[in-house]
Amino acid sequence: MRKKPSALLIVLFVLMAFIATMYILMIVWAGFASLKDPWEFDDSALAFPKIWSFVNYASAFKSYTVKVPTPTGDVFVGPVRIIINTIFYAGGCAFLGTLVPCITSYVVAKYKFRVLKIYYVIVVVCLSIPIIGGTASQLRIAKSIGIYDTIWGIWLMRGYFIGSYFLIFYSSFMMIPNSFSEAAKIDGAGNFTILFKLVLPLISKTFTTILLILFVNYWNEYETPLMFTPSVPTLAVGLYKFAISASDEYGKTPIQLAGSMILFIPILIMYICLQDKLMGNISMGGIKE
Amino acid sequence: MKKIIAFLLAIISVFSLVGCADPGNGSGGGRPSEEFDPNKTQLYVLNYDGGYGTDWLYAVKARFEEDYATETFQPGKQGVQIMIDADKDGYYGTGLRDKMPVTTNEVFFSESITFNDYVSLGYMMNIDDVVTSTNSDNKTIESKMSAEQKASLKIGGSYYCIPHYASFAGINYDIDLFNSKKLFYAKDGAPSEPNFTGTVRYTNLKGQKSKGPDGEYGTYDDGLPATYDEFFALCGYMKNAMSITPFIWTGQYRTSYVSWILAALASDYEGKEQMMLNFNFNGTAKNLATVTSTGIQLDAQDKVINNSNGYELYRSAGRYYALDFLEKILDNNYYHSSGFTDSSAITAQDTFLRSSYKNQPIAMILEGIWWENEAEGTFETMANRYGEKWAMKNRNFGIMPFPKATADKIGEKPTLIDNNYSYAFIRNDISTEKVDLAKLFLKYCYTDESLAEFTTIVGLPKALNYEMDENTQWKSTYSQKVWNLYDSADKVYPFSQNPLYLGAQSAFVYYSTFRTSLETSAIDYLLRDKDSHTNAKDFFKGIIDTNTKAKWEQSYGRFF
Amino acid sequence: MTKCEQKKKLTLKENFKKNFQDILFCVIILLYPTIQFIIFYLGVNVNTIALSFKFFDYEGGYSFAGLENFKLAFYNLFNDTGLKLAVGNSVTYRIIAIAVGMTLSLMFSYYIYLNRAMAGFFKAILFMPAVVSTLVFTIIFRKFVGDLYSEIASKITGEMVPGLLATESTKKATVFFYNVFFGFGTAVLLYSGAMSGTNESVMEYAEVDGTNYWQKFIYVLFPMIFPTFITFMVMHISDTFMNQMNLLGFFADSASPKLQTIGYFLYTKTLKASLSEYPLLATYGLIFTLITMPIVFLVKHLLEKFGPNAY
Repeated sequence: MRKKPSALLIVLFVLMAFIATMYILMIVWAGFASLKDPWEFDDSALAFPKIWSFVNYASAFKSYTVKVPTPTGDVFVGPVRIIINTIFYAGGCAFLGTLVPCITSYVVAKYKFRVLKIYYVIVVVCLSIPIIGGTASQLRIAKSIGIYDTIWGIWLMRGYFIGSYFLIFYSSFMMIPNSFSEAAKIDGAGNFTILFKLVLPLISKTFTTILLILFVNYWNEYETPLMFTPSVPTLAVGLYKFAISASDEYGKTPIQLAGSMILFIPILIMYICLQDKLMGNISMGGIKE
Repeated sequence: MKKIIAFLLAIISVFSLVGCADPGNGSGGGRPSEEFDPNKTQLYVLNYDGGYGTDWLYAVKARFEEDYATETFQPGKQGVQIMIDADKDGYYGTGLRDKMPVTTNEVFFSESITFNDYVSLGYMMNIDDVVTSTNSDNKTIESKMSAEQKASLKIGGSYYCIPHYASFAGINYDIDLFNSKKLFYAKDGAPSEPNFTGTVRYTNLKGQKSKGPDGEYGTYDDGLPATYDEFFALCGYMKNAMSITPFIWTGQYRTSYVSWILAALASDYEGKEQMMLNFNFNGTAKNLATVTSTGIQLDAQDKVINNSNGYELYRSAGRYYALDFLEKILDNNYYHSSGFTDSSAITAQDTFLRSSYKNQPIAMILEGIWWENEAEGTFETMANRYGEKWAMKNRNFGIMPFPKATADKIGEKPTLIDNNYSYAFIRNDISTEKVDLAKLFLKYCYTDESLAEFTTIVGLPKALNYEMDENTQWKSTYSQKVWNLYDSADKVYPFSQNPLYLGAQSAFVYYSTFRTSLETSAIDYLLRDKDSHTNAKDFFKGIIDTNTKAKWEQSYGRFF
Repeated sequence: MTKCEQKKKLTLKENFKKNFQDILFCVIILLYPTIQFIIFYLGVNVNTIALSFKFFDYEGGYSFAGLENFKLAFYNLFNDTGLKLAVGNSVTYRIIAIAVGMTLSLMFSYYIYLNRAMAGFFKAILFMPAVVSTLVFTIIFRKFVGDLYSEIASKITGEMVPGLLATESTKKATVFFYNVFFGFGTAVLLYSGAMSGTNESVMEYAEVDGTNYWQKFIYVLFPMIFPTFITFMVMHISDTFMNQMNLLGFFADSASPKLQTIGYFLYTKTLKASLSEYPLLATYGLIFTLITMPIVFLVKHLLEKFGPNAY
């Protein structure tokens, strides 16, 4: 027998359809606008391009040539190198940024030493502290310990446990019965074996999803590489310089939109290819204790 | 999951090998902009590459390297190579301050510098000897500074930085349009003219124009509106009789750009001495006003200003007149529609420059004096598309000395307020063997020859007193008009060493004081809203009500 | 020593030996995160917190200010209209984000979990803003509601119509709309994942019992994912006074006080602040942390105590 359509589901469908239409409209419009001659866009933001200005993408792509000062003179880093930098930056930061909160939260969730609860409290407290003027101190510390302007230095800086992903991993680990690890211990498994061979595989989907979410975040991040690795520019740094540019060429809307598309399209491709992994089901429990 | 992680790790590994071969200090992976010469001493110079560009620095570099080609600054090396780092974001203001511990640049030409911070943090070198010693033009740099600059730049009796470029905002107008459409007031054809005939007349004939705001015939401002009334009569004439849009500005940045104009208008009304009270809190305020039902009433008595009553300055009449000016523009729709969209500054310039070509003329643009430099690409594109007639060198623009709020102020010197806090300095911890070179280079940048060269190349003035030769080959008509105004005006450099000012500098940035507790954007507030009429008087009152005595005492009590 | 004490002492030694492996494991795992936290968080930020208790003056440098900065901060919080508005906006936005944003995230996730029409498509599209750079989406949205909207509305009405972000009556709603409707991404992903991890047979039993979709959600599914909900509530409330609502992307540093949040206020003030102004800003930061923390723990406690229990 056919089910009667639920009013709730109909309303939800309509709402989501509206949101989806809005997103798609915006991106499609941005795509068309990015192909307009800048003066044509000034005359009308709405009209279809009369002249298809693919040169906008060439100009935008050119803007992803970032000048990097070095002791032996300025060096111009081209788009290919910038893409490599971005993969390297995003990949390493994402990996450490996922692994460290994961293993830290595992220890805090599964080992019943009271002192470990401090880590949980630190995470919650730090989530709510707005930090004022920390950049200068961070730069100073980075320079003094020799990690300033190095990719691996940024990885170390990004390998922190504080943040909401700690809470997500924590709640995942809390849902795993202790009997698993107890059984493994009886069989002679050590703590490292239990963690890496038993527990991590159980939360592999969560791990992968967060890894990919962080990869995307770092792909799009410009503030940290701009300040801490000026010699290793990334795509997002290129777009940011572009977006704030008052230069005649890059200050025009269609070219800025073209620059945005250049940043957006690789992520869109990755998103389509890895959709299932990126949006794989995360088994997540709670933080009730 | 294993495969995904393996894939990511593989990518990271591959590129880590690439990274190792090309370490993250930027020494490879791209083409160098200039061949590094190991036989010469390098001096690393940073230039904020905004609207003033870096061409001027390359010109100085060429001369300096040639002049000192045989000098030895480091053992085993001869000559000098100036390594220029020209960039924008993160290279000015607090971004630059934060980067100072890690930068390798040695000499800096930047903007938005709160230089007391740099000195307190030990980033700026004491350059008293640079500023006070005689230069190769037989003058000291100090002699080119105004009295206010000398007073505000000295910390503990010494100089740590030198003013770099002058920067102010104003009403920039299309001289070609004014000529072709006859938009200049004719002699005896403006209400402020001594022999006004009673009929407003316009002209484009040289020698037949009205006196203008300076009250004298035969000067650069002839024919321009002398008062606010004349100005808005002209705007009405443009719009209603000539189908000319009087104004355009950037929609995206309208709040800050229009705030600069408000500050400029207020400064022009107040004059230098009165404006400096807003930073040194030491003097007598003569233009304080109270709000009435119809406008404002100037105080009968002057008021002595000190740290304890600085809040009184928010009642300065200049602020009201500036807001009133803006209100009239908005109430009469004397502006282009893009002024309230997301149009960038570049887009606004494009629209302005193309307007005559499209036969939809726009007369004036509210912009900083750097706008023509930013629009160089647009001029070039117009020349390529529409013909040489539209190239920069063949077009004429000017900057309008502000009309006076009231007729009794005609003849008073214009007053400009600098708004970019641009300074040059040397980093304090450079190697000792480079100190003399850095100081020498900085002095070299401030000879009369270098100052004139800067103005010729950039088309805009340095923030010092110097002369330009009568036969100067100006970059454009606009550059010459800017110089004319700059040279004839008083200049307000909005800084002091008063501990109260230093204790809350961002709060006393003049253009940012055009805000109330509910509004940061005067222009958005004054835009006519269908449901409620907002006006300058109310906004002025809001400014006063936001800066009360109680708040002042609570916030700054420790300074008096 | 009594036999009891001897026995106890042996037990402690044995306990230590027994737990030695675990203790060693914990130390090894936590070594790097702890050092990293000490250097890159405490090392950087303890100074920032200490600033709250200092004055800076260009002649004397830093001096101890006692609680003077706090007095001024509280004075401003109670007397400065703009600051009061910013607090109000932060709280309002958070309430809207929870009431509307989180509710819709839950509902959309439920729809996706039920695998109804176009569920896969919606799941993909709702996650897109999380994938795309905020800078990109902000630029596109700004142009969309600025240039494009203005042109269309002007053509329709025949009058000059400013963009949505330039009109007083639509600014706030536009900003709130963007922040809510472009912020589903991660929440939908995690909620739908949590729902997929629940025991399907429980839902089937509910179906057999004749419950409707709404009842299934409220009485069956939501209790099962309630711990996830608690996690999100903790994250949301912690972020109340740090969220900038993308105002920087829309208005640079010129957002009206009617729109500003505390996060935006502090960020923009810091951008332009001189050394002497940092202490007061640091004080605001500390005050809001001290306000937020107990609320977070209280809400967590209350939700755990009074929330639905699936088991």
